[in-house]
Amino acid sequence: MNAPLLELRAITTELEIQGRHWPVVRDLSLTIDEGEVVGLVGESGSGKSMTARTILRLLPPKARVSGHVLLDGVDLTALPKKDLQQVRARRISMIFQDPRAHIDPLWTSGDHLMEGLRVNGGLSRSDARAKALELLADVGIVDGARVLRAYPGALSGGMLQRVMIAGALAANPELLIADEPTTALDVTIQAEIIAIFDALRRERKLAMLFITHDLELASALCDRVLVMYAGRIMEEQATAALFASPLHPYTAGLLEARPVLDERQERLTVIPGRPPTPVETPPGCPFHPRCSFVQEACLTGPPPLRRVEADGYSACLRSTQIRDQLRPKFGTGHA
Amino acid sequence: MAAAPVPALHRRRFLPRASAPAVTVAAGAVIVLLVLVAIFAPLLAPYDPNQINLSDTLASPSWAHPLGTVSSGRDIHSRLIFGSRTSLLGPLLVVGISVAVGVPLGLLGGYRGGLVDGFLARVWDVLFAFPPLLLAIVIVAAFGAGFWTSTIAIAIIYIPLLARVVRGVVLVERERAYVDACKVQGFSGYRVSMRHVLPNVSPTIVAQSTLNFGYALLDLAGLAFLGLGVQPPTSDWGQMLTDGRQALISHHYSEVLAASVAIAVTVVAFNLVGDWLGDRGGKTR
Amino acid sequence: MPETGTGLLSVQELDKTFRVRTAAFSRNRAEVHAVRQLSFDVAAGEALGIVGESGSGKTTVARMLVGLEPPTAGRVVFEGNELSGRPKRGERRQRGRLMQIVFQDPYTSLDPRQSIRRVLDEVQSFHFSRSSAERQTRTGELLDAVGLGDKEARALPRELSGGQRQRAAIARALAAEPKVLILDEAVSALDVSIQAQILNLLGDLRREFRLTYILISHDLAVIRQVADHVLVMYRGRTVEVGLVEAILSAPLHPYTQRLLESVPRPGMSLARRAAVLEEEDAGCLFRQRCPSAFARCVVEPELIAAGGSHFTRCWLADANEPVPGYRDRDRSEGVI
Repeated sequence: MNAPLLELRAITTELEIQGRHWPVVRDLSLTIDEGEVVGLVGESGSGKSMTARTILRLLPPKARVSGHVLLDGVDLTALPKKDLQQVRARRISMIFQDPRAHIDPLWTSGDHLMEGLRVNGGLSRSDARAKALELLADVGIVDGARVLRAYPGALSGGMLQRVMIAGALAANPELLIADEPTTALDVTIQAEIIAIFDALRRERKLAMLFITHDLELASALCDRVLVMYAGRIMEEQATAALFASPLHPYTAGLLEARPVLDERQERLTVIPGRPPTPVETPPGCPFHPRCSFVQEACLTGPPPLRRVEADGYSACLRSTQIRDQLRPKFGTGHA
Repeated sequence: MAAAPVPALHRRRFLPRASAPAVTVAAGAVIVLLVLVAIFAPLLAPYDPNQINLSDTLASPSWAHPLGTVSSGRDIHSRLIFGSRTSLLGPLLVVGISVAVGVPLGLLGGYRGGLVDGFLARVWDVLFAFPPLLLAIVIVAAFGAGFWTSTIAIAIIYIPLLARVVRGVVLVERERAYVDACKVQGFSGYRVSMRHVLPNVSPTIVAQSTLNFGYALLDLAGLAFLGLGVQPPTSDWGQMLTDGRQALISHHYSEVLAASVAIAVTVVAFNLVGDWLGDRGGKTR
Repeated sequence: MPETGTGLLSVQELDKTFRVRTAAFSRNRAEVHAVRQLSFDVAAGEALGIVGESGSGKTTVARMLVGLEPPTAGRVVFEGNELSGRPKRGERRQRGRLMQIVFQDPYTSLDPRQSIRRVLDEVQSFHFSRSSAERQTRTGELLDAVGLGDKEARALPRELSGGQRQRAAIARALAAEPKVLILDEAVSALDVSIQAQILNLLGDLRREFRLTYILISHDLAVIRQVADHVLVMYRGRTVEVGLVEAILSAPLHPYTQRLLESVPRPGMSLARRAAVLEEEDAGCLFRQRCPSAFARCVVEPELIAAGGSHFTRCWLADANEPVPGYRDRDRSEGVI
């Protein structure tokens, strides 16, 4: 087997909150292979965005990171700033939730797209323009010439996110990190953007770390899904397996809590309480205060992520019991 | 609406923003001390500040007169202590008047918008069109120099300044969903603005007024220096500057120096506390 | 057209145009037609879902209903009485007793300086002549109903979580004892695990207080969980309306179909579509994005009856239409 494209090894990221350092990502390991789309799913404050930002070192001042980020075997945490800048410019691109906050309103989308192509790619003005039109076509913008002339204020959120994706593709990166890229968009536009990601994976073999709070959205696109809670990975499985047979009570709870289209449920099954902030994270398994499967051993220390299935990992001490107990419920295909 | 440039008189700031709370605490202590001095001036001052002693004029600092005496033999130390009364009372009145008039008008314009706001904005534009000191001089010239006219003149300048700041924060606040929720309940505009919007913009008002206190003290001292404010023999720091000016020629600096230091320390203290209040106001959500 | 004029609340030909600057500092104003001749009826005890995307006008509808925004044209009739578009002082208080609203953002919808206990007291003393003891009792009942404890009731909003704030906002709305509760994306900003708690709460409150809901959401699953009828809006226009089961199981309008296809789920079909830069204001408003558009679509249809309370604004539902219905057409048109 080849080495993975990206590997995070035992990453712990601490941020300063009210004068003290608190871990927001705890002992997190993950791998992304070439051409693979990995979903990182969690509720607000679960540490999913901080994981992404740790990879590119886009962290707030005073943040502390331990562990290793390996891109093709090269440790990014040890890289000098200048070399990391090269990685950001050429090998790993990132797009964000709110495209409007990440684009200069006084630049046309053409200025935005062509700057990267001319500076990093060394293209002439006319070559850059041709390439920009090509990139726009890749993201489903047929009338590229008009979009190149437009200022961000004149474009819809969906159109702007397409432009941002085109910009992210300009350097022909190996990995795209997408942090809630469709959360601010309409459902129909979200589906269109997801379709673009799907095509990029198939046509360009682009690997992707797809971060979202929406488990169903991750399932629509990702090969593999990691569920995060309070800075830790709770469960990792291939998408279909995760939906058919969740191994962690938190995942099961998330799946059950969502209303479904087919019928009105008498009552939704809820997870009691709320996700903890980094400051409130309890000792032991961070999910234990909200868990209906809790037992004494859950309080002693955070359970490690263990292999439960051939390709399924769970950080729950009672994974097999939970799997067997819940399988009849989910096995029929929840969605 | 295009914001008219705020006249330079109101934009002065003598120190960078307070970063360490220790500095703010010290500034606060200075203010408390000044207020105590003003209140207990008769107990603290060794002499009657107006007592003329022609046998001991322009004395250098000594045990009897720690800061020396002026050309009429009055004790500078005592005049400084008593001067704190008018020098603090004036700005206090300016701030009080500007809050009493400027806050309701700013709230009205910002919350109601429309024609009312348009009319008020034009009034402020007209007032801002005059150089502030010139405006004060005109008012004083018309009604005669003195503590009250100069104080009211400066207060008139500070009303639009505060009203504009209030209007600005109210414009932001009224867009918040809780204001809509109040309107949906059927609360009157008066109730929403007085009971919900005003408490939420009050930290800004307090911070701005604290800064204004320092600026007003400077402005009043300026008028007194020009002979348009407090009239001799009443003790006042600004008036001490005028009085001490002649003595400078004969190298007697202590009166001017004492008044300058008192003014500067007071203004800096109010600036520091005002800035800190302003910063904190933005963080309370 | 669906019948109007009956029921608790009747909205008739409601229209709203905004004039907006075309660019910063520009003197040019463009007219944005946010809501176009919207009509619907809500019966007492019913839950109507209004679904649509950004720019569909659904939030503008909510704001017009509660009197925050005057309609450009049209009428809102409550129990047979027309409500004013620009309510005066006394009318606003009356309206507050009829309809209340819960907003999307739990972080700006509560007064930062008031505990929920104080808010509930103020709302009650504004609407009712109750003694202080009576108000306190009622406050306790309201807090119980929304599941807030004494500690949360005394806290300032910044000390509460998003879910707790939304419970507080619901309690504030219920304190006026309204007949209709409008929920404007009230669960959209919440985490999934919290969203389920609030959806269950809304179900309980509807029974307990015999409330009529108007639920505004972009999330079809949320609509399914709460609403009996659903009205689908696109660019200010009703494109489909009917029972929620009927519309979600057999949608007739191509936009409703697109909405349903777009709901994320494992194994959903991921069809790439060309981006539509601008949509025209004449004819069917969806036609630039519609895979089934044909010549007749340059004229916008009225709402066409499709059996029972189901109506759709699409020529394909017209019985006299010679073009085959959408089900038989090649759906891959418009897909790239």
